[in-house]
Amino acid sequence: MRIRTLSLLFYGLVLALSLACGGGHTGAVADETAPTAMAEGLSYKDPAGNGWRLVKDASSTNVRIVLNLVGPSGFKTRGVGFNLQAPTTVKFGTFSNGLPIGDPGVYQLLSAGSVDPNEPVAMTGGVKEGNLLTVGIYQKDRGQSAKDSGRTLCQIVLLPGDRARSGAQLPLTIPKAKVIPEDIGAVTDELWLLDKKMKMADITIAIGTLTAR
Amino acid sequence: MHATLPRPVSALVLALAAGMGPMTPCFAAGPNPLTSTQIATLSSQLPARTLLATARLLQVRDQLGLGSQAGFTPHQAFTTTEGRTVVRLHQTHQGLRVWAGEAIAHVEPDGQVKTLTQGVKTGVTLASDTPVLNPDQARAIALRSLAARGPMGEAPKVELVVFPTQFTGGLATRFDPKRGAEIFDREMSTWAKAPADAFVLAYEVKTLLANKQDGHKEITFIIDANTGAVLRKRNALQGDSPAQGTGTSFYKGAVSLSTAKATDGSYALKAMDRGTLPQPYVAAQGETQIGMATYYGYVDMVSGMMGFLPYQGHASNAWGNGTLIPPAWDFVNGGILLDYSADDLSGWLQGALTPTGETTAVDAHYGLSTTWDFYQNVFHRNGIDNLGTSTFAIVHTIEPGAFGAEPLFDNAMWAPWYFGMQFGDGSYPAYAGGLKSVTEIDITGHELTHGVTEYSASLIYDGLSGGLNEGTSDMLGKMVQAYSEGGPKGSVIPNFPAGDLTKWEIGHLSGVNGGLRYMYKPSLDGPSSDVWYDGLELLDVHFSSGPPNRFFYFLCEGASANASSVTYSPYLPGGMAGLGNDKAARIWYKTLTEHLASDADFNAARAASITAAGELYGANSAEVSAVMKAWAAVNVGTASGTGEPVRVTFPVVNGPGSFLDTNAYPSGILAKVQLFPVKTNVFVRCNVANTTNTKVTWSMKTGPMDGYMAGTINPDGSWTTPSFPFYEDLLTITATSQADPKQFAKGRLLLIPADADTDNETDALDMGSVAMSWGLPNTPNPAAQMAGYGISDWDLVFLGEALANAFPVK
Repeated sequence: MRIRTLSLLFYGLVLALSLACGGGHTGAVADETAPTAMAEGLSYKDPAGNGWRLVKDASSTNVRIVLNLVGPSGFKTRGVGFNLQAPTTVKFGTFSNGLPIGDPGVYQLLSAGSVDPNEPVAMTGGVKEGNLLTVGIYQKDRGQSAKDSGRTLCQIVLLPGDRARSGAQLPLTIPKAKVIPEDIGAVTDELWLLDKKMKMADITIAIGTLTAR
Repeated sequence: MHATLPRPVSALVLALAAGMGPMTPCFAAGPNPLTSTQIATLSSQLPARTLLATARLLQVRDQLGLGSQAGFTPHQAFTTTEGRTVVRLHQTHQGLRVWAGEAIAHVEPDGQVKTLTQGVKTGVTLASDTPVLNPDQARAIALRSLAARGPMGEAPKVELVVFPTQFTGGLATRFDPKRGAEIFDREMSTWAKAPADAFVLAYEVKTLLANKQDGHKEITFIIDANTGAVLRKRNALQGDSPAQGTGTSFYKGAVSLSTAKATDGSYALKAMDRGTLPQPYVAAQGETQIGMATYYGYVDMVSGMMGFLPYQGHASNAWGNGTLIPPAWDFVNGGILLDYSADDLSGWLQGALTPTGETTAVDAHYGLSTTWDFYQNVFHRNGIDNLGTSTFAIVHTIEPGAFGAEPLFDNAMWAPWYFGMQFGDGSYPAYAGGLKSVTEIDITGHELTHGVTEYSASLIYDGLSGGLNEGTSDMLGKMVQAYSEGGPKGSVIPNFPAGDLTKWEIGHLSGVNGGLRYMYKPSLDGPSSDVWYDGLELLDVHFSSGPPNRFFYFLCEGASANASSVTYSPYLPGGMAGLGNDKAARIWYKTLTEHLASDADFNAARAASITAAGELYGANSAEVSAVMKAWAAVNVGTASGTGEPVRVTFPVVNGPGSFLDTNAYPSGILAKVQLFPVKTNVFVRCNVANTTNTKVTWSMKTGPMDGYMAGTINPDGSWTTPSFPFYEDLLTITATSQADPKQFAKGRLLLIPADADTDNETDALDMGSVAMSWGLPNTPNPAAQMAGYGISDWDLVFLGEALANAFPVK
């Protein structure tokens, strides 16, 4: 903590000196005179393709990147969960529900016919040791129909973490991601058939490029 | 049963009461005690004074924050020996009883009315005034939940009430003596979600089971009158816990018994002079019993139904021979041992009708007669309900059980449905740790006192109020013993011989190695506590009674200043002098009958007993000081009444309104329970107040428990949870203050086998596996089961809480 405070003071001083000189430096020159320039925010470039992917939400800012999980159009699911590994230069934010996962409302989380806003739902999230984000959002009532995945199914938030060099790419990986498929059997099925169908399916989620800025 | 009490008050009647017409003359309050004539006059005014109390409560209705639809219906009223009329009133809303809502009113001799309203429930509103379900539907729902395997003993009783949803039940626990820990009670757990509203219309459905398939149960349900959800479920039977003590046989020797003589000259074990109103359960069977009777258990050999029959038709009026029959059970092959009637239609425990079998009946009859006299002579109480309603004892009880019919063995109980008591024969000597007979005088006093409590403070039989309920039975049961040993006669309770601690053991003579409980140092039995601590409310009521029991011992006998004495308390190192049995008992009886509300905790009991002592002996009296010291000695309040000791508490992690708070039974039992996944690095939390040194030392009741260890919590609270969920046991952890090592808290942790998708990794994807199984009557994935039977919202909440606690977003 103490070292980080000194660093902040140092760069504050550099910035003040630069302003006192009346500016005039190009960006390249500034990089040369401040080779250890540290980022204050984040930028994110969406991945290519139309499969499962994390894309930037329009509400994002330089210091709060909101990523939307979008799936392939026409592919119906009942829920999705994934783990996202990030370096310590990235932190994870929370939504108004206190969780690191936001619900845009595609999945119907309450039991069919329920109007109780306090009914427990199958949505959870946290940050495991090693800065591994784990989130999941699922329909619990099989009476609710499966939903088309080609929309924003859930959201996560990335925040600046430990100081990174400006311009540095911050590697994100998703070691595990699964969905609840449309067909999970019927209540009237024999247990062996339910057992066969009640399996989450692996998916691969494309991630864009996260850069410190 | 309450026919002598007035009906709800009409405006006209109120006007009469306000005019004091029926009550004159009044007697001025003052230091001089009233004469017996004045007391008799006040007693005769009981109906009018009850009306006055009701009217006064209606006058202060607005100050209590109650609406115009609130009312009060008196259900108990009596006149104290000081001339005070004590009226207990059910709170009502739109004419319906508010469950656990109660006010107490004191009408003093001079007509002044004081109201005690800590038990009143405020903010009562209903989303709908009309129930969706009718009583028959509620009864049907209760019976489905009851899932009786045998026939019902009686038709269920149904009452529409206004139910405070804070009392919604969900998860029940019970004490497992084999493990020495609280475990989930699957049978008594209900899995309903609490309504969002603070109050709902509900049906209270009382059921009675007494058959060989189900055993004897008196389970009361609360059914949501709009949704049909089972909101609460509890067993009304209030009995001793089995196998908690050991002892030798108890014989009182020659005793005088009050019996009944029939027109044919034969005798029966029925005390005609104890009880004037008919015994209600017997009356419901079409028979009449007036007076206190002692019965024996029997089984109908044709139907298999169990019941009881009177000890009657005795040619002589001499009963028993001073020896006990052995347990009527084949301990080698299993099976009850019976004698049969000449026609082979009835059976009863082998030897029950012999002179040897009669001995137990003599003990019970004598013990309950003495208890009745104790309340009559010392406290001027007319029996259990203060109305003179007759009661009974059943000895050689035959209970339904796994083998069809079984003796009751090492247990005794107050059975509210019966308005009577049942006593077991013990299991000694077949089991060395068993009891010889569960009819020792302090035990019979204990059981009848449960009835007195039910018809006075009606302390809710769980949590700290349950500990007070059990403690009250121990305290006053022990006073019955003292009264017996002193005569029994007169209106004064004598002291026990000085220094004889065996007198303060519950059931000391019933086993071979001491009593069931030790009032002078409750922890000697193992699970009981000597003092209050944060978390005590989670103990079984037979063990959370420890602090009230020790408080009462100190109040009677005093506390030692010698740190090596078993009657020493480090919370009161200077010790204290006792008041003697008589004063202490009067303070507690007054506390119980005049001041305690049904949901009282220890702080409320302390305040109530200080008030009671002040009323009896003066606000600045030595007796009040003794009460404060005795409570301080068990870590409730301070001896001086000022300052606050260091307090260690576990944070409320499932606060009011949360799923795990509102759905748990007893209410709030999971409020402080921290849930974690197995095999995970987590942090356990606690709070320390009233000191700048907030460091604690952690300890955990780890075992070896079923061969596994739960690991060690580090000083900073970090802990690697074990790889095993301990069969859903709640693990007990203790946080002890480093500033004041006398102060500690015991919390509970619940470990969740969170890897629902069995990929050897605990993460949010496990929630998906739980979601897929949600609502299925049978899930093919048992790993998705976190909470109990089936997969429900409980599993989602358990897993969600465990993940949130283990993987916080920082």
